[in-house]
Amino acid sequence: MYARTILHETLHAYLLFEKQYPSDCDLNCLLTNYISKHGGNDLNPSHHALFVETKFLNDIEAELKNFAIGVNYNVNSLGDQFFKDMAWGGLHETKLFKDKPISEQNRINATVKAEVTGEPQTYGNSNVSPKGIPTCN
Amino acid sequence: MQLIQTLLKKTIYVAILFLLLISCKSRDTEKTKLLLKSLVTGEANKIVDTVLVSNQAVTDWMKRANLDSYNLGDLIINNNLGLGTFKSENFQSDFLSASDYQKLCKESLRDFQFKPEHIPNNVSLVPDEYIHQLIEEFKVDWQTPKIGITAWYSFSKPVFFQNYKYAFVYYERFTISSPMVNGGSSILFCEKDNHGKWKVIFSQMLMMT
Repeated sequence: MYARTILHETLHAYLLFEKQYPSDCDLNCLLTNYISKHGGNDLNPSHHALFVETKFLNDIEAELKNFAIGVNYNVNSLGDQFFKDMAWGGLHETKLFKDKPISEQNRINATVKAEVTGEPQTYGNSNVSPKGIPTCN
Repeated sequence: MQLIQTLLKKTIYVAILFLLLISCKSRDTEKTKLLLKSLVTGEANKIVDTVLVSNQAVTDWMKRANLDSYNLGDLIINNNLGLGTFKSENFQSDFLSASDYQKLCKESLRDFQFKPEHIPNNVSLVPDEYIHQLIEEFKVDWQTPKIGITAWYSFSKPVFFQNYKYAFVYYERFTISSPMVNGGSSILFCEKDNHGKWKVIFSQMLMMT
């Protein structure tokens, strides 16, 4: 959970930096478009929409997996779906998330909540046990 | 006779002053409602069941923003806080005068209670304690509240400048939706357009999740 949160917040910081000090013309224009669509009073919705509607979600998933390899988790036993689901953490209010089938939303919510709490969680028909060390124990 | 005339004059002066005060207050109320409406209007596109506004104005926003009255103007003119700034296309950094900044620092920190007439019709004004209670309950069970996915807003007392052309407000929006609390806070400067609608012309994000 630590790693997912750090990746998520780092991505926010990267987008804030990119907006202020453009190095990538395409990304800067994209950011400007998202901010004009979602409003400038709260940058969270713009960033989160950008996370899920572009390749950033895959980047979080990939980096989370890299981190897990680095700290000796058995990523094969965790499976790709676990990393995909964890990457959605904090993004459950995006339109793309709400457009997912309920069963998929339940699986993601149960996975994220199990890692937050360190306890098995049930959402609908999804029963998930934690796989990592809880954030606060 | 002269005494009666003097008394009558004084009474008329007081009545005029009173009417002016009432008129200013009612204009402030009306403008506050339009300003807050423009800030919560995006909720129609978001996926929440309940929208709450805290009745208690945030009075310590300057402390939360790590600002003081001396460097606030510098923030807008020189953008010295750095990341998380939004400026509208035609933003002019000298839109406020020194006396406007003084007014901002003085009035936005005042203790203030929002009333139903200050907020848009489609949101609920609730005691601050109610929102704290929702958070405390969430910390225990991590469940979406019984009232559904909830967005809550807290604002400072809005301050208006230059005959209601510009406005300042501290803004917080958070949501509770299992399994997480999401949100952020910003300071906002808004400008009223020709159609009477408020648009954000400058914002400095203070916190996001």
